[in-house]
Amino acid sequence: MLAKGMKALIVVGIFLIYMVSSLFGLRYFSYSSFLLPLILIGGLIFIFTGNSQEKVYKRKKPAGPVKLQYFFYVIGVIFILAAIAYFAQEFIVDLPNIVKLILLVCATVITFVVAEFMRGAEI
Amino acid sequence: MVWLVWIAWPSFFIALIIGIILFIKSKHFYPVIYVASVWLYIFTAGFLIDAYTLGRFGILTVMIISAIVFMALGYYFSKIISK
Repeated sequence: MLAKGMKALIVVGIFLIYMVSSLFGLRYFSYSSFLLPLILIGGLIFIFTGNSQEKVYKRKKPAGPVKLQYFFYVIGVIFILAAIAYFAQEFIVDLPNIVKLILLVCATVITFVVAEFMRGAEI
Repeated sequence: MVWLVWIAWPSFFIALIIGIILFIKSKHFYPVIYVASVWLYIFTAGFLIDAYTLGRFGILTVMIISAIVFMALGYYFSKIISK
């Protein structure tokens, strides 16, 4: 039974041999073949499966309820970032450079102050 | 903005990954905002250098000021944490 690190090294070694051989133009290896995704997918399966006889030193905790709220938090944060990017692209991009610089400095300071308040409130 | 894009986007994704890791480890949101403020600072410094095409002396000045700012912040946080 190989450790996960050894398995990862084997997969990286196979990948490097594939890349080097395609650089030298060997007939059976090329960038356009299906081998590259197969190596990557097969490598990931090889690394993360097996080892069913691992020694267990700690009792595993039972799986709790699915924390679905984090999924919605992530979507919300993505929307916030997208809104800021769109706002900057539509309204800020045409302003003079000095105004943009002042806005950036203000945003940096405000973000830091907000983080300080959140740390005090342990949010 | 010739080269600012090449610094802004990679640093954004690095900051995003660091923010996610900090949130998972600390279970608090404020480290993420700290990471966001650091990234905003990096972007501001890069924008200042790129938009005004600062010379060697200007770039050096910005980097020295940045170093002083972050050392002062580190000293500030060391005092807070030691309390």
